[in-house]
Amino acid sequence: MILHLAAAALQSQAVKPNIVLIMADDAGYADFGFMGSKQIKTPHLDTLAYDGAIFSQGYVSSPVCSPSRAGMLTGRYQQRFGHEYNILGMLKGYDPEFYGTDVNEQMIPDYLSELGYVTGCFGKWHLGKADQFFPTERGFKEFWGFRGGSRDYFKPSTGERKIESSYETPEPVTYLTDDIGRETVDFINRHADEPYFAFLSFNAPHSPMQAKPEDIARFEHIENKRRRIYAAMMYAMDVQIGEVVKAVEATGKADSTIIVFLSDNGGPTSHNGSINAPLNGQKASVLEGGSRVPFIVHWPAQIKKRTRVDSVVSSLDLLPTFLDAAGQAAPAKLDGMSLGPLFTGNTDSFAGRSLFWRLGEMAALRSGDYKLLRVADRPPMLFDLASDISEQHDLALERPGIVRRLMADLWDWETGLGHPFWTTGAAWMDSKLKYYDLEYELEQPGG
Amino acid sequence: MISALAAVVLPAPIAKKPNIVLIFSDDAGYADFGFSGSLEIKTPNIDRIANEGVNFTDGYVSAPVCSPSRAGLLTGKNPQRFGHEYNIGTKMPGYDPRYRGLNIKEKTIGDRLQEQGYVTGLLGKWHLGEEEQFHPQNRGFDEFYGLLGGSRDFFKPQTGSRKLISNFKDPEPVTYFTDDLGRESLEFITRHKDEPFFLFLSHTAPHTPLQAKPEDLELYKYLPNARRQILASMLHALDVQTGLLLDHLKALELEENTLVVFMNDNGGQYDWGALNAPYRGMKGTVLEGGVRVPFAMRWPGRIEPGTTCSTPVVAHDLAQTFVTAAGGAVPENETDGVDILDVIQNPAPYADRSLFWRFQGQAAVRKAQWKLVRFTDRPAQLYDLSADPSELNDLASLRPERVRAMMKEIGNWELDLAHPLFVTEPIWKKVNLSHYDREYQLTQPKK
Repeated sequence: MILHLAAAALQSQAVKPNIVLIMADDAGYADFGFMGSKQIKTPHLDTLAYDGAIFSQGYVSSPVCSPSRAGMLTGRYQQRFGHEYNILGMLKGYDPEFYGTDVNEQMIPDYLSELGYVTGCFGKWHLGKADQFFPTERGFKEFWGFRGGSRDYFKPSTGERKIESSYETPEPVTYLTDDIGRETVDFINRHADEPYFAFLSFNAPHSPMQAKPEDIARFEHIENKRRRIYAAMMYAMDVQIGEVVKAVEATGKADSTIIVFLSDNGGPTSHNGSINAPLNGQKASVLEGGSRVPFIVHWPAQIKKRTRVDSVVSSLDLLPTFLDAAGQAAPAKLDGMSLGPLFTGNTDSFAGRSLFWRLGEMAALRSGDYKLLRVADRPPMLFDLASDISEQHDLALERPGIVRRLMADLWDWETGLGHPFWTTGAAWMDSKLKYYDLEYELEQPGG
Repeated sequence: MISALAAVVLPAPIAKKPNIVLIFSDDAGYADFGFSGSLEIKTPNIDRIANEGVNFTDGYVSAPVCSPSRAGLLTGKNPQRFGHEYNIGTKMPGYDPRYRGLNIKEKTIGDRLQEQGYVTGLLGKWHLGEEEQFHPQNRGFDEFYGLLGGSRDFFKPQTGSRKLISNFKDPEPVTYFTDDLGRESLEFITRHKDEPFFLFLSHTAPHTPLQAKPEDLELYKYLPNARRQILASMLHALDVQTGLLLDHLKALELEENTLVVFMNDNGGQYDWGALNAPYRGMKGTVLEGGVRVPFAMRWPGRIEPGTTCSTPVVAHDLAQTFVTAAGGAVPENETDGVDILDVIQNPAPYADRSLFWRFQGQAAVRKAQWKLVRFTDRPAQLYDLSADPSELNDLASLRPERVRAMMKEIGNWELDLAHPLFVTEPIWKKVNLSHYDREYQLTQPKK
């Protein structure tokens, strides 16, 4: 039903639009000019945001890297196919054959290849280290990047951190963020005459905290050294996004190119100097600070400048949106909805929608403006995000009926999930349950 | 708490190591034995163990289903500590089959009693792994006669994990399996009457398939429920064999120096004729009906006949109990259990010991008279077992601080657990949860 409406919402495209999907890694919710930061400078992203749509309530499907990417690329809650936990290191008892995104799942490039797109992935993969999980086995025609979750920005590395490419012998890294941008620009130039899908998967500003000296120099006024380097990493990423936009414009097809930007999860404020204000929590928590992210879509042919969308949207919606844009109905097994109607202000199909999260002992549900958190070591928490975006006023004891209903809804969703193919162990969970008792910076720092 | 206050545990007058016989029934209900309250089912021989020793009114198992319950009993630990949370069922994708059994790093009671100079025997059901590394002979048992799996036909030969195997004899064709196990137990005792022995007599009765001897069925054909007729008849055969064993100990003059324990492996299988009255719930739930079991211990000369102990004790206390009785000790950091003889003698420090369970998404903690049950699909429930043994009157909303404290206690306990080494199909979570919402018969039917 919804798909039908959505498909009708996007006028059929004479040409298949190009798609550039840009993902930042561990960026803070508030660390962009267009999100209100006075410290972090992201002029290119700001232009993209102001010339397109800013989604004020955009989410990813997991508060950690690998499952978030698995959800986005498959368009399905990743817990359905065992990808509930991050890929950090194999624990005993699990079968390495399955240590990646289930090979039976289709990804965005699988769908788009069938529709005649050339597809490429540049940067971080983090969806399985073994060969059967390699990007070119998962629908991407081209890949330049590394299999793991993070790596040094300057030095050569080995194993899952090694730079590998399907189309060239990779040269030594200069500054990795620059290299990822350069390869994406090169891809766009090479494929300017055919519909393409580029997944630009930065590892910035994920640790290790490393930036170019000239970029660090721009932020000398930031006293905290870690945040100073973080700001420089964000700046370098923004410059590369500017280069990619420039390349798109140079092809003369900017109007019919969809550019999406989002981050893979909330900022890990305990680790990389990021700030999620006004959101409470951080990466790896099911608080808003873990899974609510900056989320913009730029598509001049369909989206007016300065569009603001307040509907609740998810990274799971991207695949249905891309299929819709390419004139294809989304298969029923997908969990998201095309964002198409929202581009023209039709919010009906998104009204009152529910989104779900679960990462082992922590789970959450957003239903309308209510957010319920079920964390194993404490009673359920209930927040009204309309009046309490920072999740400060727990309403659970006051509204037991709503808690009961939402817990039942959460469970109902869980009954459709599979078993995890791996976990990250109790010690990891131990460190994350502490995140619910920390104090977070809920206001933007001054410039 | 204890019927006779002082010195119900008498000093050890003997240097000779006691023999230990542990008799386990399978899937019987809490109230399906005379000593635990049945008015219908007569178990005069099993009752002797309680009457001539101690009846634990608040005796628990480590888990509400067969395999993890046995894993907890034999290791002296909460089985989740070493990844044994689930039953051993279908092999699931992502899990390494080499780990599908009782973690080989764990010592069993058999291992520990061998170190004390005991000859050890397992007769009957194993259900702790089928691969070579998990075989009873590799897990501390010198002699094995039984099946590696979880159940088998009582009359017919079977194959695979249900096949009857032995390392000391050609297993004869099965006659009636409960009788065969009884016969083997007498022979084991005769063979080893001159050395300290540990016999784990692990009956499969009255687990399905429900099969009884025709002459035993005659005894209970007046019962209204056809399944309960068979279950009662199976328990009769088990009781007769227990009587023969106790008589045999007496005839060989081993009675005084033999510690005999009787208990069931988990709550009764309500769908197959077992009754847990007055406790609500059944096998698979962490309600009292899932984890509280008939539990009795006899040790003439050490335990005063007719003792009743209402201090909570749990199956994973038996490792420390047996090893201490044998003259050794399980190091404290290697067990979650305590010496039950000390609990009987000196109950005060154990009165508010916390006991924990977790299975298929639900978890529970008991501390003194309080029991908290944590659900996936609804807020946690709090019961006062002293006033409400059937867990019908949820006090959670009246005592939010106690709920918060007990939730934290469960959460902290969980953080010391290992990741599961094997799991079962997610559908079981749904089936399992439905057992919390059923109506149960909570009173004993009169004869």
